[in-house]
Amino acid sequence: MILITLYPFYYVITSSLSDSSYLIGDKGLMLWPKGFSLEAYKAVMRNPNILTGYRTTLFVVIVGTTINIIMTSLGAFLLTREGFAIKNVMAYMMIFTMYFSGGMIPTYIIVSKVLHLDNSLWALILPGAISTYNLLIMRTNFKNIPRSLEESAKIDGANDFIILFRVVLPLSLPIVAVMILFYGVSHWNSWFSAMIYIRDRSLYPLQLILREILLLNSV
Amino acid sequence: MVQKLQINTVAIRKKSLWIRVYEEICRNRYLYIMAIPVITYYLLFCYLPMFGIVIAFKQYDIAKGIFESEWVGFKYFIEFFNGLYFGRILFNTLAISICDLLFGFPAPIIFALLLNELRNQKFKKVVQTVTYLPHFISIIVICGMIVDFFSTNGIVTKIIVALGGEKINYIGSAEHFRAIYVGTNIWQGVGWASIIYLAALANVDQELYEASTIDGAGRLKQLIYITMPGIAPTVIIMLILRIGQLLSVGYEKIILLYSPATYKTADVISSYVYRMGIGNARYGYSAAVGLFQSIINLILLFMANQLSKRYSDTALF
Repeated sequence: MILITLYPFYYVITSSLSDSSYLIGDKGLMLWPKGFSLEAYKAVMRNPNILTGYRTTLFVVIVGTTINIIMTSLGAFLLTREGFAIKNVMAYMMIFTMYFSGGMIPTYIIVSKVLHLDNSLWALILPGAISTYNLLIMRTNFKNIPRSLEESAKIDGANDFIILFRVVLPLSLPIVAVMILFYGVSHWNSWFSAMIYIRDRSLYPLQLILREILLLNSV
Repeated sequence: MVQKLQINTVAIRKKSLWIRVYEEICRNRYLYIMAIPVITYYLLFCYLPMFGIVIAFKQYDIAKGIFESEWVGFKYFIEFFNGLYFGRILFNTLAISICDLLFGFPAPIIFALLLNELRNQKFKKVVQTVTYLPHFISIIVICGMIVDFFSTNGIVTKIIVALGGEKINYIGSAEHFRAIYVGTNIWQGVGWASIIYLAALANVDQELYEASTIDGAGRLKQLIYITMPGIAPTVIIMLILRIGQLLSVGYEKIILLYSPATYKTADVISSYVYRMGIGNARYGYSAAVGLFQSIINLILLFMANQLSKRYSDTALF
């Protein structure tokens, strides 16, 4: 099982280190690079699109994940406050979106025609700002924090913001770390939104540049 | 006595709705401030597109916007159902989805059960980590690898030839598309999906196993009578969620892997919506197709939920 999982990656690494003339012809079961050469890596470095791709993707990952975490924590926190009148309404509203959504086309029309976010990196960050699934995970975690802590903070005069940032979040750091991982990986790997919203080649994220190289013409 | 009580209750005045709303907002004002961005997000990016579904019923004209475009009713739905490709797309979607369900759903469960049997904890951890690595690799890289490995000179093709198969370009071959799609889904997803099942397995009471050993049960009997019922609720919920996605076979991987040569078996509803809608800018038509897909999915979800309520104790809602 491990072999099946790892071998493709090993193959990719060894073939990237091989001389390209060996690769074009008949390829055998490769266990070791044939004709060691760093030529492939040099070609990658020379391609300017790759650098802009990295820059774009890094921006989207950092800014996007930050916004994600803030919004998701706010939402999850709101769902755990007792005595908050619209709490149940919000919960139903959020969970409904897990089962039914507008679909590809209406979302595309809203984002590009109504909000005029097309061809901007915000089209990659804002539409996916909250994943309800992750929000529910955070809510479950926030619920496990004892109410006595919140009450003692309130006695000391804390308002809800302080409770969130000084009490609840520090106690939930493991979950926040998991969220950073999930959202971060999702932003790093995302390409479809960029494909439909962005026209400017200098704003293409890394995955889209990769797609051009890997799938549209084999470099 | 009773009359005295009545007078007392009448004396308490009920505050008007507006005053109660105002007091609630004042008391929890910070929560409402926090709620503003969250609710705005949901309204703008989740619910507004839902209202945008009305595009499916209109002849969308960019100049006129959504509300001014003329209403054409079910014209697009009829066009879709009578269209040239309807049968093919529906068949492909269902075929790929059902294959994925048949092979891809049990795979993580079996994998989790096997992992559970491992004695050596360190080895188990290593296997777990290694197998869920592919989940994090971007789909673009995975598809790049797939296209390369299954091409005429690719490495998997070589293995198939060595085992006695034909040497063709598997990625361009329509008959094999389904197998490649489902197979690589399993390869990428089995490690990650098994995490949930492993957690469910860990929750099964250990005392049940010990009691059954005393009664003389071997591993197989333990599997059938303790483990399976133990993880059944989790399995059923995951199955319901999966059925609710029956028609929405993920477009990303399909779009990356298909080509005009494989449209015959590879084109699914989602990829068709993408080609027609964003590729050909036929917004109304593709919105109608997408709506059709969402509604069928909802219906399937409800049906699966009802079935599971009737035949077992667990249900999603």
